[in-house]
Amino acid sequence: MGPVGRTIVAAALVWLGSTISAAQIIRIRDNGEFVQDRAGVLSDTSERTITNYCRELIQKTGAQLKVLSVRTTGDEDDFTFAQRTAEDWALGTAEADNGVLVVLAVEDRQVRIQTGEGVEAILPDSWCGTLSRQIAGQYFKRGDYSGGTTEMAVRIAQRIAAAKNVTLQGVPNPPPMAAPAPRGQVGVVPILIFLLIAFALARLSQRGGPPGGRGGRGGRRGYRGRGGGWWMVPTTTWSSGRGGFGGGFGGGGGGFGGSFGGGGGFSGGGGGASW
Amino acid sequence: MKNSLPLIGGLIAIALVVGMILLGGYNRMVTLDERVNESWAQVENQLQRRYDLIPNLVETVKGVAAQEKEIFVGVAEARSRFTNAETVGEKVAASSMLERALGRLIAVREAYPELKSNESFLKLQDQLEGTENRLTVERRRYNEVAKELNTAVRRFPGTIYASIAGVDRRDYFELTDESAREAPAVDFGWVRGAVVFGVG
Repeated sequence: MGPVGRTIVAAALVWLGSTISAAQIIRIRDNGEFVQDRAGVLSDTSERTITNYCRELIQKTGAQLKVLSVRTTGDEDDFTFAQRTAEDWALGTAEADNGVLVVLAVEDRQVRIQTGEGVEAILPDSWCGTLSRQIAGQYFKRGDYSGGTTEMAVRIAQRIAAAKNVTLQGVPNPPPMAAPAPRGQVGVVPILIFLLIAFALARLSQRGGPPGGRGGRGGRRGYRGRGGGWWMVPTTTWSSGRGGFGGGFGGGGGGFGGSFGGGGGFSGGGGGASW
Repeated sequence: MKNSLPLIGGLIAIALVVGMILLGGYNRMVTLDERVNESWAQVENQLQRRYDLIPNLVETVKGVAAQEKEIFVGVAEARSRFTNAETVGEKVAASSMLERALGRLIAVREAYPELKSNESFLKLQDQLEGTENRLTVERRRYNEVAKELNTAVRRFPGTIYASIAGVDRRDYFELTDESAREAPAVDFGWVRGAVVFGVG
């Protein structure tokens, strides 16, 4: 073998070595949904049911439950992956640490429930392990990922709810972003508000100084009283402006609702099973 | 007299600034030290938790595999060594011994299939795994804070603050190769091989 051949072989070896040693870490961002089906194994019905229960759970108890499906957890084991992802997403609130992440790794044949520090007492490791084994044996083994994941999420949500003395029916209040009035009337409210603001601004600039205390406060209070908060303006403007797109927000379930982690801590609790 | 007033004022101002810088450095050192203590306490919690799980686990396994005396003796020895450990180094050593002993205890299930379907054994195994997992997390957090402290202590001018505050470097909680994380239910020969391969 000539020097060129040797160089090529050496380069090939180096390349091979680098592909082998590069640990494959899979990072998945929180997209604000309650269900993130990266493996593409969950049915629409399943996603909708889980989303409804998760939304109702967070509304009634403040606990934040999310479900993530992936094909594989990469080079990390299921625990390391689930723990890292849960820490990244910081599910639950910083005060209560009440987040829960369910990770389903379809090709690894692993399922895992990762519990935040504040819910460890409600969802002890052994309970998580038992539930995971049951669901894995009953559903995942025969490939029913939708059924198993739904059952799992609902049982977790209901256990947290029971500990907080509330019941869940899987029918959440509509998310705040989807609150706007039925179409047709939609245009009126934002226009009124817009006019109000424009009027206030005009007066303010005319005076060339800060507004009188009473005028300013009164205006703000009236505005809040509409219930939606300041973001009602962009939302309703979008849905009326885009016409056919209007129903997409919230009405279809799932959609928007804005659920991101609030800084909850995870210290490694939870349980899982394989099948 | 009138002319020296600004000078005195300036000196006082400089002294105040220097004092505040010193105080800030000192306080930072003390805070770091406390954070290390706190995260070590979390590690100890988990070590203790694992320790408390052992009697139940041993009883459950004994119910099925009473003849595996050697394993039970090994667990008991490791457990008493952990009780007597005082320094961080001793605790780390005792805890990896305990981890190995528990690994062998859990591995018994391969020879006794009835354990695999024994719900109370499975639940204890969940708890043990949960404890090992929490230990992994707390160990990582401890090492991170300890590293921060050790770096601060070794760098200038941290060295000075550290000696004033009586803050010293800390030992890391490092895994020996035999006690790799997946200790339970894993063939140790393979793990050691894998570690060597990974480093090389």
